[in-house]
Amino acid sequence: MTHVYHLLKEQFANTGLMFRMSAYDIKSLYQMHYLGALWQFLTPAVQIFVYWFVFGIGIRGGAPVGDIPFFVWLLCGLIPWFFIGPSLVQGSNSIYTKINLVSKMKFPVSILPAITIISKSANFYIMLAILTGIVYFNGINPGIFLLQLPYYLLCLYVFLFAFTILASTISIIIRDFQLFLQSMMRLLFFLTPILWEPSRMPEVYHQILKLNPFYYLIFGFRDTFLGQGWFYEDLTYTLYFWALTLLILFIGAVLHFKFRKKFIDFL
Amino acid sequence: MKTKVSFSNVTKVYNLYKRKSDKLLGIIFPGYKEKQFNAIYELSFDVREGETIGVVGINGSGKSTLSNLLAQVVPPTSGDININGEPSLIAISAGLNGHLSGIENIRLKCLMLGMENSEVERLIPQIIEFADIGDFMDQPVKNYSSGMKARLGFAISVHTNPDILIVDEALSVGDQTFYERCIKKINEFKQEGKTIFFISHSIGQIQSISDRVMWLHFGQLKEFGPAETVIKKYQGFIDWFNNLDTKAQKNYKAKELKAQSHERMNQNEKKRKPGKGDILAGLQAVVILLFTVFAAALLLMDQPVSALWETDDEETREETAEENGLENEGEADEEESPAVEIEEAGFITAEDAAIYESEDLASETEELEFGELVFVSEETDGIYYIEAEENEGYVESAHVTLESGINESAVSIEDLSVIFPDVFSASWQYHLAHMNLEEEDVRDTYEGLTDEGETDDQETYLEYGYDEAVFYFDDEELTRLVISNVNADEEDFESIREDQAVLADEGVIYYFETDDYGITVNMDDETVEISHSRLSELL
Repeated sequence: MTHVYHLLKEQFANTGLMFRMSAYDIKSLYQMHYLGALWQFLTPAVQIFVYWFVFGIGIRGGAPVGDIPFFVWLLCGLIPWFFIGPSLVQGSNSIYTKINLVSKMKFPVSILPAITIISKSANFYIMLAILTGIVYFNGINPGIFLLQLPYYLLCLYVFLFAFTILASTISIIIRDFQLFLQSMMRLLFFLTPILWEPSRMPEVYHQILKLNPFYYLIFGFRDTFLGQGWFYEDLTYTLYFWALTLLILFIGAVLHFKFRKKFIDFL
Repeated sequence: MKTKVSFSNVTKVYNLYKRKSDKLLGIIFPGYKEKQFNAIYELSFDVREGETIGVVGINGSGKSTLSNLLAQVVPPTSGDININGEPSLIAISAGLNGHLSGIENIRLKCLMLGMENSEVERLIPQIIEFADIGDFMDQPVKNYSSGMKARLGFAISVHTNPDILIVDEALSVGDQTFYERCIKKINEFKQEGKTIFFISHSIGQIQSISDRVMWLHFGQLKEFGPAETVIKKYQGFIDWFNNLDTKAQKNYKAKELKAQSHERMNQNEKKRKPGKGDILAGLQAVVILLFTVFAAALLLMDQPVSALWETDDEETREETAEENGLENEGEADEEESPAVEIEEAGFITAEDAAIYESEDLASETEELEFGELVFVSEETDGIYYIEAEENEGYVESAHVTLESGINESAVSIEDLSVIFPDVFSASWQYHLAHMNLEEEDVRDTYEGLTDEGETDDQETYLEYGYDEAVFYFDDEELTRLVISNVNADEEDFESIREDQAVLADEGVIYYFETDDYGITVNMDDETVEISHSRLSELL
């Protein structure tokens, strides 16, 4: 636990640096493209359209989920995923890509994954605002359920942070891990009920699917925006999610501190 | 004067793995080592504040490793390094990102050193001025010549206010004008009392800058002393070496390199014992892992925790239940709402009734359709436990009607005829006369067939659209007649259904029985179904 404590202390001691670096990242990201920051919204918009067309119109024949239009239902899952996916993959690669740079100076390496997550956040919040608009526009009023949004954002950030700390450490030691992670994320995108509805599945499979922590996050956001339930209604699942997150964070912190001094040797 | 940098018995070992997998094995089993190379071996020295140290040595003598150790880029394998201050390493293109432009690199490096934005903006003009690479400042660094990279790197490093400056060959690619400027800056630093390590192959440069010179030879400190004397000796060695013939040079190098990689092999056999911290961390990891597995198991085991929460409202009850174990909890439930034995047949009288696995109506397993036969064994708090043909479970009692609940109704088809659609009611007796015919006969006698076919349940049907009537047959036998577009909100019907209706499901379905027929009125679909099978007969 001391490792986790040190890790968190290092994050909080460097919040200023973290935010300045993230701001720099965002500014420089799309500088060499003609359409600039517009790409941050063009890419997801095209994807949303294609998924909606293929899964909503093509496979479901436009049928709503319960009384929620499929498009809104899809967006509630897809928008968090647009944040989760790239944050995880790039966050896991963050130390590797910057190690040459940071190793020549005294720099708290452990904040690199957090920097990636923060720089992806700006886009995410704009999309969440748009999502809220779309939800209201469709006559769905989540009302008081929106209050649990901070809780699910906390879940999201803690999980992303824990996972990227662990994965960024492993992917320096074993480069193959990065490739493995990328294909895993592509798989998990389909294994997490983002594009399809799990209710028709036999209960056993459903419960097994729930072991995937992204399920918790995606459905948390759905419950929040569609006003379908509170996070404390399924305490077992909440308990499981936090236990898993803590486990990942713990192993991540231990490995990170064990290997951080030697990172440069592994390259 | 204070000691700024102090090395004591510092050794840096590089493991030479042939394959990637060997590297991994080396991480997992610290004892697994194929071949080792000591870049620096047992190096000890002290450097005071304000000194400029020149470092000389032939290729592979460990100069760059030393600069990395000084900059704390790589950790030593053994020994102690004490550095009082912020070291800043300048090597050719060190820490520059090739894809970013010069100005972006300046900004990024400054930010990474933890500077505020205002400070960065203040420094940028000074750095640009010092680097003096003109319009290339806005070009990606990958397009720079090595001289430009060195200029930019040096400019950034000297402006970030380092205590200890490590210049690794960086000046050798710059031209004379830049070199002069750097020397001026370095002399400025010297006067400010900063420590400088100057690594170069140029004996002239070393001599003009250094106070003391360190001669590294195949990883070991050969000489460390006043610039003049060491450089003289080093020059002597170079001359001697150059005068050897090629074969002798080769032999000499091979001998030294072999010693470098061999003698240290045994040095590093120290076994690393797992410390107290490691064991503690392992223990904690196992505890959290077990907890996670436990939570996952709960998740897969039909959510007993949430079930507990929902069935027992009072906390005290829950506590006692937990204390006394599961048996008592069951009893507590019974006291609260005892199960009543019913043991009677009945049938589903909702349009669709869901069967649930548990008493609190969680986890639906299947839906039963209207009219399906069930056996009700007991009732708890408005919930029936039923056994159906293929299923059993809990169902809301409102969805089931027991055999005893059916009373012979006094309604006749004539009473109901008020709701029939006009085209049908005009001759309903004629239509009903067909109810006893077989499929062929209906086909022969009835005119105006608009459609026919087979349903999912393998019933055949004949549709007479003009009369709003559809006849269904099972194996040629007429089973039921469905009349659509009925006027279910007819006033006369209201009184009938209030008084005489036997079964109702939230006002959607009404069921009547006459001597011959079972009649179901579906208000939503606006249909009347007249069937030969009567529910009371089925039981």
